[in-house]
Amino acid sequence: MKKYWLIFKLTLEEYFVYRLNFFLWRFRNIISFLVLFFFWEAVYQGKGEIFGYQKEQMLTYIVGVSFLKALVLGSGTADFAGMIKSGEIVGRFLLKPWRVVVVLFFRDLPAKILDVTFAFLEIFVVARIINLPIFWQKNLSTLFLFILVIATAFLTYFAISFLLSLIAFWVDNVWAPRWLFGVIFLEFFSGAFFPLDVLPKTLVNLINLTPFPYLVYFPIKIYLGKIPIFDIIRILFLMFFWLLALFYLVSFVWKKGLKVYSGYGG
Amino acid sequence: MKNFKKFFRVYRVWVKMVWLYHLEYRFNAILNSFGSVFWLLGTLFIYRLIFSQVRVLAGWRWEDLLVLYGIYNFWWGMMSVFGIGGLRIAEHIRNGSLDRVLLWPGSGLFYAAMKFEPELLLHSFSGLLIFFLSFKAGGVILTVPHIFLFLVVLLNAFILIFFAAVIFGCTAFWFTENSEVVHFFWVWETLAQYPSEFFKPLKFLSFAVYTVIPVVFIAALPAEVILGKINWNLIAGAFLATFIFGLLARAMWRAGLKRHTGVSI
Repeated sequence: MKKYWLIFKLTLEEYFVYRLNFFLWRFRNIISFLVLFFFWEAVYQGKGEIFGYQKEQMLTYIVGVSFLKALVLGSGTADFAGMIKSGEIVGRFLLKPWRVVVVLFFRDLPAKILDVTFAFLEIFVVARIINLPIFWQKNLSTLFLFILVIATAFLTYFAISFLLSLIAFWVDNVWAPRWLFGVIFLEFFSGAFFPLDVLPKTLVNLINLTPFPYLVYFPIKIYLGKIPIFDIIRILFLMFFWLLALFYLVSFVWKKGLKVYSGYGG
Repeated sequence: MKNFKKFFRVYRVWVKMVWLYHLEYRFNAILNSFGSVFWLLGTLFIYRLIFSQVRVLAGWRWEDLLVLYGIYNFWWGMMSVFGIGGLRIAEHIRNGSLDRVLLWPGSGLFYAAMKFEPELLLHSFSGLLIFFLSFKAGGVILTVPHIFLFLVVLLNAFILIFFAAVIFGCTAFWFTENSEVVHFFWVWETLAQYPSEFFKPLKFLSFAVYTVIPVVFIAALPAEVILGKINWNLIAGAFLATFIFGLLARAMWRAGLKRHTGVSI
């Protein structure tokens, strides 16, 4: 376990090596958040309620999206495809006495911690500057379930991202499938742009058959108190199902991939 | 003139090689094209949903926003295919391949900034289609002077962002790791799809979209021109911005080359 914590510590230090890079990373996150905020501000000009959301609820949704994008979406496993193609995984992972998934997880953790910490600070500062009305959930049981849900969402996204990278065992260029499924479909169907319940019901029912809405949309709805406790527990069970299914798939695809892998350049 | 001819000859050969590379990964190219069009249509769908609830958005009607959106996506597609090659300067510097590019006949800057990504042509054509469909919705003024001014302002936008990309790419001469500079450019550039009125509530942002990278001149200004809302001050400002960015780009490129040591390949 010590070796994994060392990876965690070294990855955390890496983020502070190039300070301009770090500053610009945080600054562009603030810009992305502000753009989304001003967009919905403009939409709500002179209107009290749109799509069943009050302005305060929608803006809280936007804040939640920014926070959850930092915590849930985004993973270092996206780079794994490149390492497979270059043969780097042979020297860096396969010949070393550690488990690949655990190493990647401990490489992701510092990024998540930094992202969440700074996202929280940035949102707090920006909220004070622009007088952003935020809904604060006070119900402890809802908060506890919310934390459980986002922990599951984090692991689910990790599995999805890793699975997409494993395509590199069979496909020469993984960028396009990653872009299509891991960015475009995921951002649209996870609720990262807008609450999914603004869409027609048939489309929403179809999207609910995928794991995507459980990454951002449902966690925020839970935080906003829009979902009763029993439904939250049902959602949790669904999320555990997706998590188990995805990790089983990851394990299966990993073993199949290693069988066909030649590791040129490693 | 001679340098331009040399550059276009080299560019023609390079484009052919890039086409062959993309034809080798046809599935990838199709997925990429499909993905970008899905993104375009998905965002348009969201706008349409919003306009089912509101009549205007920051003072822009649905018909006007359609024009802006079409122009932005046509511009974005074209820049992604041909134009924002200035960001590739950073790649050349990091890989050490800038020295090879500098040895080619003609301007090193244009060769370093050469770009061609055919997968995003479909995105550009989709944007153009949306722009033409917006004519049906009404509001667009199609007189010869308006069309001419629109084309001039749009061309200016291409040149402006080309220079901006060169400036951002050249930061790699001074910073070992500038990947976030490139990401910042892309995030900032997405502000061009919104009307400038969106940013008025926050003064610094409102100022910055006219100065840092003047994204307001990319799509919002041409859209206002073709919609008959001509602001001569803004148009003059757009040309001035291009001139200033052109000077800055040239200065940064020359200053960067002076300090470039390059580990060649």
